[in-house]
Amino acid sequence: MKLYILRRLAQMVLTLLVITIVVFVLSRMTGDPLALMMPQDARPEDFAAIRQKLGLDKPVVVQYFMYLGGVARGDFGKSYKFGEPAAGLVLQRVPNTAQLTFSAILVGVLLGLPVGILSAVKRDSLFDRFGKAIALVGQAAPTFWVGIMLILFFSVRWRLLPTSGQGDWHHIILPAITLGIYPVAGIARLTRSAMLDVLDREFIKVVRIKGAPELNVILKHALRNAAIPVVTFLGVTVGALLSGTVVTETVFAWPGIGKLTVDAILFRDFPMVQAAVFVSALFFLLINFAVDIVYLYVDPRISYR
Amino acid sequence: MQGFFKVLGPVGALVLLAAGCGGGAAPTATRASQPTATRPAAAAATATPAATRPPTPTPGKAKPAGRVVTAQPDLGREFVVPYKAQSGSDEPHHQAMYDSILVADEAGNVISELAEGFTVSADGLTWTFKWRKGPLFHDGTAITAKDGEYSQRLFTATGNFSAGNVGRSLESVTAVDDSTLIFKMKSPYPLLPRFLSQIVGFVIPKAYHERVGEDEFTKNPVGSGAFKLVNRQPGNRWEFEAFDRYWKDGPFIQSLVLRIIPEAATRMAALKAGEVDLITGVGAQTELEEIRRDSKLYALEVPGGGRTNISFDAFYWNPNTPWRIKEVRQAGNYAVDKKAIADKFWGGKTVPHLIHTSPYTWGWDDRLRDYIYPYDPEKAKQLLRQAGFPNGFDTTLEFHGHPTIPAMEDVLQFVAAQLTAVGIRTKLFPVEHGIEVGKFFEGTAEWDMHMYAGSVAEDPRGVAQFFLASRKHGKNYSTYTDDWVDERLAAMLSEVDDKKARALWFDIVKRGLEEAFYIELPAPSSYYGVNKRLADWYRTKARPYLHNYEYMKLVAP
Repeated sequence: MKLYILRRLAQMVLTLLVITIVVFVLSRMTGDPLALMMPQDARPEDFAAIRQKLGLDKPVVVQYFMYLGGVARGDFGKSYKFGEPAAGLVLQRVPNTAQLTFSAILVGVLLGLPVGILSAVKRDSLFDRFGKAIALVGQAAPTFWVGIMLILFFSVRWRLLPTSGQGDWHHIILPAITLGIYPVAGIARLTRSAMLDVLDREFIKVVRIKGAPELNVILKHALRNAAIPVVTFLGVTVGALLSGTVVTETVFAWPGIGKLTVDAILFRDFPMVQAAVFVSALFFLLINFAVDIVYLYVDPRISYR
Repeated sequence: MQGFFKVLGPVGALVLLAAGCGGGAAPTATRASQPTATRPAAAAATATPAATRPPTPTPGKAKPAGRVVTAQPDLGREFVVPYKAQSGSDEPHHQAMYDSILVADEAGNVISELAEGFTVSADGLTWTFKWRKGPLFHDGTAITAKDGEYSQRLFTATGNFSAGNVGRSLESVTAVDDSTLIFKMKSPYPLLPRFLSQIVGFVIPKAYHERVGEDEFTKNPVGSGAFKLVNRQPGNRWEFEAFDRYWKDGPFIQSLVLRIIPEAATRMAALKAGEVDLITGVGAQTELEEIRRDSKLYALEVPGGGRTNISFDAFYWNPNTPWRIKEVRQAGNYAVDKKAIADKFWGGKTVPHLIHTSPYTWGWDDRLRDYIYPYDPEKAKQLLRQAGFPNGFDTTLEFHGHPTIPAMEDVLQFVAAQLTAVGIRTKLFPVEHGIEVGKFFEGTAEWDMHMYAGSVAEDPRGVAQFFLASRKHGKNYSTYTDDWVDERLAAMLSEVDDKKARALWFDIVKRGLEEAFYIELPAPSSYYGVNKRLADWYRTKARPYLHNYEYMKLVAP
């Protein structure tokens, strides 16, 4: 187990190193940041002075190793747009994105799991059809549209919840639902199919014959065995949401890392892009790692060597 | 040189405005409690809207009350220190927390602010600013000319390129005492007052900035304006509180919040839900109609706030482009129905915008209306035949939206269709804005034309070099080479006699229209959506970005 963890940590470091190279190269392929930063009347000598100040006049390889040295010290450079350390700005946003992501996952689990379980238990019933419809709509409806519709009804028409921004707990409800609709659909579908598979197994019949209460059969015996694909899905989804909440963050003006990253790309804010992608990648890797560890507890048959 | 004035005397004041303050028709241009300058009779013939008097301070200061929340798509580069700002879009947060050496009045004329007046020497090289007594920084220390000097040094020394034009002409800036700031120029520079009324004029405290350095200043700034920064979440929101020892009558609101809401539909929803009091970037007729339908809201118009034109980028990268032929460019102008664009997309609310000049900018002359190309598709076809293109030709028009120009994508499609109708077969070429700017400056643009869209410039002299000087002089947005224009531009930019400068500018604009430097489109109004509890306030009417927060007042706090 220890060896496994060490091997995974080494793989993570290697992955992060590759990511730094890819992001560094790709961000420079978007073009010259000075073209966007410099004012209308800047002269070639002005360009040269700023290029030198930002270290962009050095060969790309030298720039990369300077950047890598900075990363090792936790210094990603100063954002071109905000004039402050990029890492600090990204880390300020991480809790916001994490809050949104986990709220969305919570919505997904609280709604998706019961719908999936009930759909499986009451197979081919009206509820099952309703559950499948929810799953279909949840996966097909564009996040952007869902968000705007929720704002129009809950904020503008009924004045129940704020339209946007960050504040007390009311502010997270609409973004969490908007972002959580996709996991709701995914969890419901996966839970239903896994539960159907497990409920047909012999050991479930044995448990029932032994007289276990039906609720116990479903929640303790069936659900635990059906949980593996759901946990896998959750792991991947959390990672994806952490770095992919840009649409929801934009619609609700939620100050998260997704919107920050996209703006940084459009502004050619290299330090910010590099810091944001690095942090996102790090979280993604850590969550996948955590999911692998969770497997051990969910399914004792799994062991890592 | 004639008529350069003595300190604040009537003649001097007359030339002050003639030289530095732009045109206007009103007899006085004053600010706050200490009027300093009067408008020359010579300038009264221009079409620039009349200068208007700012609200007069009343004895005793009203206690500020209420909160105003504004929402905008972006705040540009969000530096706390003003000397790293670059363009108009950087201004809202700086406008709230800093005062400038000079300022623009309601009509866009430059008037006094922290400097209560200025004089210029007869040779146009020495500008002396007399400092106002009384204004304080947020830490309670007095704002003096030495802070002005220090701020100017930061602007010119730390790579602020808004200050570039000033910096290049500047020999020295010196505070001889606490109340006198002197600029010595290498060559006459009539635009100095205009620049000092914008970002470049903001003043920060020398002692505090020197003591703590830029990083600490960014964390705990001390400003000179009506509001103190109390909380800042970069890319999200800036929160300010009224500075109770501010030198003017205001501010009238206790707190001000600038929120960034990138999505237009969400901004509108926040306005309708009463969460914000004002939104910028109202881009479509449907949004305007939505605002007008709501009894709690109103649409605040910034007349001629947007500027648009189509430039011929192929000029600089394709030596064989048909756009190099004058008749073809003129054909492009005749082919586009400007009135239809104004009526169809901008509710008829437009003003002419000719070579960066409109009735709301310096340099406007009603005679320019004679040079506007009428809609005449037959004439366009005839000119194409004359130029050797009886069957027309294929071309491309770069395509992207712009936050300050309503329905820009629709306008571009309309223009492309109209050009195609006369034989200039125009394909739209979608490019993300950042990439468009980058490729243009890098000289790798693959499209033939692009629509320039931006906020109106109060004084086109500030952007003339960038848009009109030949590209051989360096990277700029110009696409052609015209030595005749270059010579007159140079002469105009150093001409401190306002009448002569206007005459030179008229010639340049006329030339630009005759030669069809661009396909000229009208300038649409920009709009804010505003909650009726926030009454319209004293501000530069034609400025399409927020400012003068100190005059904002809530009808019902």
